[in-house]
Amino acid sequence: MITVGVGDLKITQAPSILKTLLGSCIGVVLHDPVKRIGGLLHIMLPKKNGTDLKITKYANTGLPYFIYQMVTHAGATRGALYAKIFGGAKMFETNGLLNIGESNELEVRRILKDEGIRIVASRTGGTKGYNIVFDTGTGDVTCRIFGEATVIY
Amino acid sequence: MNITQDRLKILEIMSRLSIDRASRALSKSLRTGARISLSKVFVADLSETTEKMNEDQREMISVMVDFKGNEGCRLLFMLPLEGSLILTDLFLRQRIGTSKECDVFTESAVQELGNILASHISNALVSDFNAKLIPQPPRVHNDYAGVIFSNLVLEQGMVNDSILLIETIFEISGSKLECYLFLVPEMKSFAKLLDSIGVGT
Repeated sequence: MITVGVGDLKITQAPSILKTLLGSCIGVVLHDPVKRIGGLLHIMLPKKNGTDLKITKYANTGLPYFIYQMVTHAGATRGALYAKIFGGAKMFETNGLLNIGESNELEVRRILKDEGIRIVASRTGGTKGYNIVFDTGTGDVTCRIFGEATVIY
Repeated sequence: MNITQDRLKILEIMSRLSIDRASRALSKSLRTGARISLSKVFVADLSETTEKMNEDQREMISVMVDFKGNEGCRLLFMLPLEGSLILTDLFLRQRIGTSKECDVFTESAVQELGNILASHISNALVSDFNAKLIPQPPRVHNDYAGVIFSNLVLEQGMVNDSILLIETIFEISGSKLECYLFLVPEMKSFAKLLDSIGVGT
């Protein structure tokens, strides 16, 4: 089982399992069901605001890079790719920040639409963390929100 | 993030002094030995350190305290839900095992612990190093360990790919409490503090 940290990207071929925990961050899963290649991107913020920061932390730079890596380096077929998205919770009411979770989700949905990649499943929002486990063989994502029952997407 | 070894060393000394003071105060409040010892002060890669924390999928209760003033900082204490019951018993001076479920008393105990730690850490830094740190009201949150930790480093992670982290080992004598206590100093303001006490870049 491979764990993905904040702002990180992991791409693997089946059989393999990718997992992460999400708060206000958004986890984007891309899967090619034919070649059984899958990846998980852990997005922290909607837009990159510096020049020398890691591009996979941001939706606007991380998602195009993710798609490029899936197709060019991992060998996935672009037309076969679909996405699943999770996370984007509002963790603290009083942390003085904007609703980062919601902004992340909106940016991710916009970019995936522009890139022509379907979102086939999603679970976003709320105020608690998400524990997601992605099976790159089946494309199933097992999602458990803190304090709730496990659901497979 | 660029920080010299000298500055890290000074920060380590400052952390050790303030954590010792918080440790003594906590022992007094709990009427049992609470030992918080500094593990390390280090600059950690955001993705690597959160990846490591995401391995810990236990359900935790946490208290987070922001410090305002001239020096920005954030403190996080978290422990597993079952450990919080022991902590509640210690605060309420009742036999360990009396508290059976997480309730308002548990939240209150964790919040109080955050208050004690934050106020003594800031007192030490204010009196010994002339810092200006004002602890804000503690915020209690239940969630997965990795999610709570990500919240701790979120703001620093917005402007840097690495974070300055002060990691401790927290033990309460006679109990098997496994706790995390982290401090995340805001690097720019701490650099000013180090300048003011004569620690050059």
